[in-house]
Amino acid sequence: MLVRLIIGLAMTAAALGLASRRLLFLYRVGRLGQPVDPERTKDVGSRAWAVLTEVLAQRKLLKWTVAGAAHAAVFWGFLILGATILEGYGALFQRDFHIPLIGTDTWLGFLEDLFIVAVLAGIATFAVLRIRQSPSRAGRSSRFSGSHLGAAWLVLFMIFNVMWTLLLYRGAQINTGYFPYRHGAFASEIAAKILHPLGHSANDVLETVGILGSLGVVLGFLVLVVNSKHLHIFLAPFNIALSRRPRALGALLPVYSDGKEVDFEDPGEDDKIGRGAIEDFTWKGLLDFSTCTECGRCQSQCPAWNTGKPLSPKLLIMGLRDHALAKAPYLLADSDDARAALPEAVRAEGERPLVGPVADGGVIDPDVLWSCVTCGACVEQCPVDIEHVDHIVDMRRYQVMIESEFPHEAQGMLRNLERKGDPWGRGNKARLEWTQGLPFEVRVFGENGEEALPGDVEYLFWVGCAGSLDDNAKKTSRSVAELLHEAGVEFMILGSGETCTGDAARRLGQELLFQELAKQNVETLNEVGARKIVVTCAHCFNTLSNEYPQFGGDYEVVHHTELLAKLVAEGKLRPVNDVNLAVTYHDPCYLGRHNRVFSPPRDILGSVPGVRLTEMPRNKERSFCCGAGGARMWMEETIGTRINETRTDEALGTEPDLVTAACPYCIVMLTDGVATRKQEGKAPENVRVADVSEVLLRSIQKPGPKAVAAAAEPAAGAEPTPTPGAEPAAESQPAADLEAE
Amino acid sequence: MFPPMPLADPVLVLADETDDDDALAQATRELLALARRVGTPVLVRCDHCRAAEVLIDIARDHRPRAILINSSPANDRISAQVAVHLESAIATDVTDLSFDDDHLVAVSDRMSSEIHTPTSVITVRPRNHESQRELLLTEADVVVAGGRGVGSAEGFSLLARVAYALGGRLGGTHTAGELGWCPRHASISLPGARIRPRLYLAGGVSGSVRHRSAIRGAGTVVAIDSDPNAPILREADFGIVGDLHEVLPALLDELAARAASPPQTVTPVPSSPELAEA
Amino acid sequence: MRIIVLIKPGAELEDSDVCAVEHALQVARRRMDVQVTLLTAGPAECVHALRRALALGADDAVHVLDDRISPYDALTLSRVYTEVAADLGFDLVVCGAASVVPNLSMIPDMVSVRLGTPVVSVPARSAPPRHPSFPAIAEARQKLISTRILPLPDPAIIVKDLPACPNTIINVGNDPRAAAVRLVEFLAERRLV
Repeated sequence: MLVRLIIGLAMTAAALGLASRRLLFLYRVGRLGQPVDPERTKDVGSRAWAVLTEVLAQRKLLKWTVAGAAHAAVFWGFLILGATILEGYGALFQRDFHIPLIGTDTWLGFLEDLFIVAVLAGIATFAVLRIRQSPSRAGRSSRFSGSHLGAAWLVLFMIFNVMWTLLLYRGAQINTGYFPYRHGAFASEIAAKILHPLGHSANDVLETVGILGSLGVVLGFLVLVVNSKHLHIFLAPFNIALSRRPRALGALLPVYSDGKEVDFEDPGEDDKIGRGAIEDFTWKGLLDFSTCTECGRCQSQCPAWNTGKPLSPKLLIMGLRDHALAKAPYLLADSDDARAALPEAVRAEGERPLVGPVADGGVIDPDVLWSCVTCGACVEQCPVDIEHVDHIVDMRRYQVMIESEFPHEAQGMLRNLERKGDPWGRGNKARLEWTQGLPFEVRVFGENGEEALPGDVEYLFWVGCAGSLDDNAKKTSRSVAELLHEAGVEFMILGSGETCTGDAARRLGQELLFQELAKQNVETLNEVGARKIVVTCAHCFNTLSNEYPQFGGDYEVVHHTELLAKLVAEGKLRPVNDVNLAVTYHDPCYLGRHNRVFSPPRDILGSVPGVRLTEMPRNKERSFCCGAGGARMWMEETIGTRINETRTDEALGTEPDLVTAACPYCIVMLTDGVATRKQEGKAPENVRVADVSEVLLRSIQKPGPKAVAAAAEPAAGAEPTPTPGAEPAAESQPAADLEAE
Repeated sequence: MFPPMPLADPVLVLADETDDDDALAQATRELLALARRVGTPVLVRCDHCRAAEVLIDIARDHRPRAILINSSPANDRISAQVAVHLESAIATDVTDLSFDDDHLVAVSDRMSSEIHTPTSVITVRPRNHESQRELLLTEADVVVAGGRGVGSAEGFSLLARVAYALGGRLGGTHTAGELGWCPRHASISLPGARIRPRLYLAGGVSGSVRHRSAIRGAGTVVAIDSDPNAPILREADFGIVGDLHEVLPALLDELAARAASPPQTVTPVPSSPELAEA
Repeated sequence: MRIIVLIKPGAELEDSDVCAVEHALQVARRRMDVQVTLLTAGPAECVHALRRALALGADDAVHVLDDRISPYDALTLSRVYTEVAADLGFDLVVCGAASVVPNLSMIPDMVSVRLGTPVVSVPARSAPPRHPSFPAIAEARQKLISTRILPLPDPAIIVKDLPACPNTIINVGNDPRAAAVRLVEFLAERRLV
């Protein structure tokens, strides 16, 4: 017994020593980071709830059923089996130790054994998953591609070791008579039956060996954990608690330096703009990197990775983590002499540029940084709430605003924004062209000398650059205007008073220009007294509703699909014409994932007679980006295959007559994709791409040439009359010709 | 030392150095034709090393309405000297002249300028300037491009012939680049190549906003498209609604015919230009 | 040593002017004591172009403030540039060669004639100019733009855009040749063939 106690305590001391040395180092690395923004520690309630649901209830993990269930089994196993560690240590001191009060209850014994079996089943599942999805088989498409595979197998092996040593000593304990549970521990009883024939003295030895072995494995595991990606066991709860709530999507954070927002009009001397070195990240950023489990869920969803580009959110985070840890001794050295005394490799690590070509020693290659479409699929999936998009944009900010290094073709967009206020440089005079040919007058703010929005105007219609200038998006603007008119909703537009909301500039990292545009727009909107705003562009929607509050612009912003769905639900719009269309719907990232508007567009489609909606395999939260977000619309896509074509193929897989979306950027990208596939003979000639609102409009308009005249009449209260038997097939050409080039 | 000069509205024309007594260069004849529209052309022939001096001297004596000079790097220096010494306004790349309300009006691609100095220096870009096929698409003076309406990679060879005939470069729209009808780097789009030619001819290009954005710097836009509602036609100075596979071959024939015999109506040989030789 | 860079009037900095500033800075980089001074003339909005050019690295700027000056009037502009440059004193004058504004491509030659010294005329590159960094923009806010007012003569040239030159749209119908003939006539009229 004494030997067993001494060995046990010695092992423990050694392991705790090693582990705490490592943890202290990690803590000091974390301290290198900048302070975080003040929001991180506010709203304790929702943070506690997040930990409860995402850690204890494994909410995000369980989105993937099999892997999630296996993880939940192992995770809960670790919690429950904490009791066996207690029992193990107790048995070092006192051979017949049991946990006070509940320590001999059948249910506890049963629970422990149940989770031993569950954990074994869990790791068996993991092993099968890892073999089936092994990078050596599936190559790049494996979510584990690029992860530390050896370490992962070692961890699985260690968990297996914990389990079998547990069963060994528990079985032996039963045979020696020191087991705390008389009933319930079914698996241990089976082990006891197997060990029984060895005899009492052998079981005596096995009991001690098992206990020491089990504790040894656990302690070894502890050391392994703090030195590997399994650090997430300890860090994940903190990372989740301190993450952006409800999720790190939607708005981007302003530029923070030293925990305070940078004032671009009067910047501080030492303000850091974006992240130009690993130590520029906040300690929460460093916590993000250290928490990454290398599970690769982000990678499996990433549009860039899935089209052969070098960006994988997982590899990006791993790269930053490895660099942070490797550079840490260099940063922690308190003098130049100490730094000079460091090994060559560490000094070299200290000299590596954060962003630069890999050939020049860069940690993050520019091709990686600029491949991101900021679609947020990675953030959505991450079980430990890492904020990939924020880190990428922060690095872009440094590259754009400090280094002036970014894909040169994006300059065209920036210059147009600076000079003309829209990305194509058409100028604000062109912003009214879309209203031409509408059968009613669109009210333009200021045309009749208004100084504020008139009282009868319910919505300000924010048309956006694309909605005013892009030929397909102009059709959407017209449809929405006609539908609002039809429903009797009074609205007004700003016309030439609008400027780009700045989404593309901000996502490119050009925060300065974004802020100029945002302040200008907020000033305009506040001056006209805008309260309720309807927008058609998902990017404008996101910026207006989520980002303008950062500049004192608080409005009730709705997307046109939300408003139209509401009008249909209220009976103010009655889709009556049978459109007879096979339709699929593409969720725009900035409408769906970033802003959780999933059902209104589907409700609209569902309300239209003759729409047969088929969902694409990747939809709603898992929608696959069209390739235009993150200012990628304004950059050349030269690496790998085209994102828009990949998504187009997925849409064409549903055999649609009409591919719908609810964002002008998506419509441009999908229209391009469909056109290319048609030219290649891979898509039927009749397939079209259109906004959801155009489908609704077709169903509302009375068929025949009288439609225009009828709509022009102020038919107050008149209901559109269904025309039974009116040749619906003849009307089945969906939205008008949509090709534009 | 100069021959006597008629006093009715003289307009000086600097002769090309390659001119000889019998045959005037095409460029000079065109300058004379232009001068005739606003006065009596007076051809000034001299060694171009002294051209500025000579022109200034003649102008001080005879107060011409305008001094016409073909533009070239060397001639521009002469134009600058004359304009500065006479304190006369200068208008470049002029295509037409008229006289209106006591003011000379110089018309160029996109605007007309009223001259408010007694005399003025007018520079004219010579036609048939050497083809610029070696220039980059983004710097070319003439660009011909096609879009989806061209229909095929073969259709682009027709456009290439038009580009050759006009001495310009060939490009395409974003879609044409995507479909491999033209090289990706020759996609005129945003993002993509932004062009600023004097003449842009678009065939089968409907004119999406990203394409129109990239041709914003173009001077004269000519568009041929079968869709009368194509946005490019609203942007075009000269639009043809029709099948480019019919129009372009006809255009090629017409250009070839023109190259063979310059039509008289455009460049009449001046009957008796007054010569001022120095 | 002072290098004067002539900036064309307008709120937007032209590409050729960007190249001229960059050229001047390249010269300046070789010596410590060089001051790069921008010089422009025109309405108040020219300040935007000046700030942009200062963000590229120029040291200071002189703005001849005048609302009447026409951006097409090369004669008057060359005179203003010359007078102020002579007054400031300089070792080198640099100017963008081409211009998107008609007539202004004559500026380098005209200023050179007036000053009696060569003016470095910098051609525009086809590559787009670099986007200035934020610290450079912030620094440029502090740089000195001194304003001058000069007595100027009446404009030598008054420009109006062509009265919305009606864009010709013709339908081919059955006669592509006729369309081609009209197109060639149109091109000839504009001296494009």
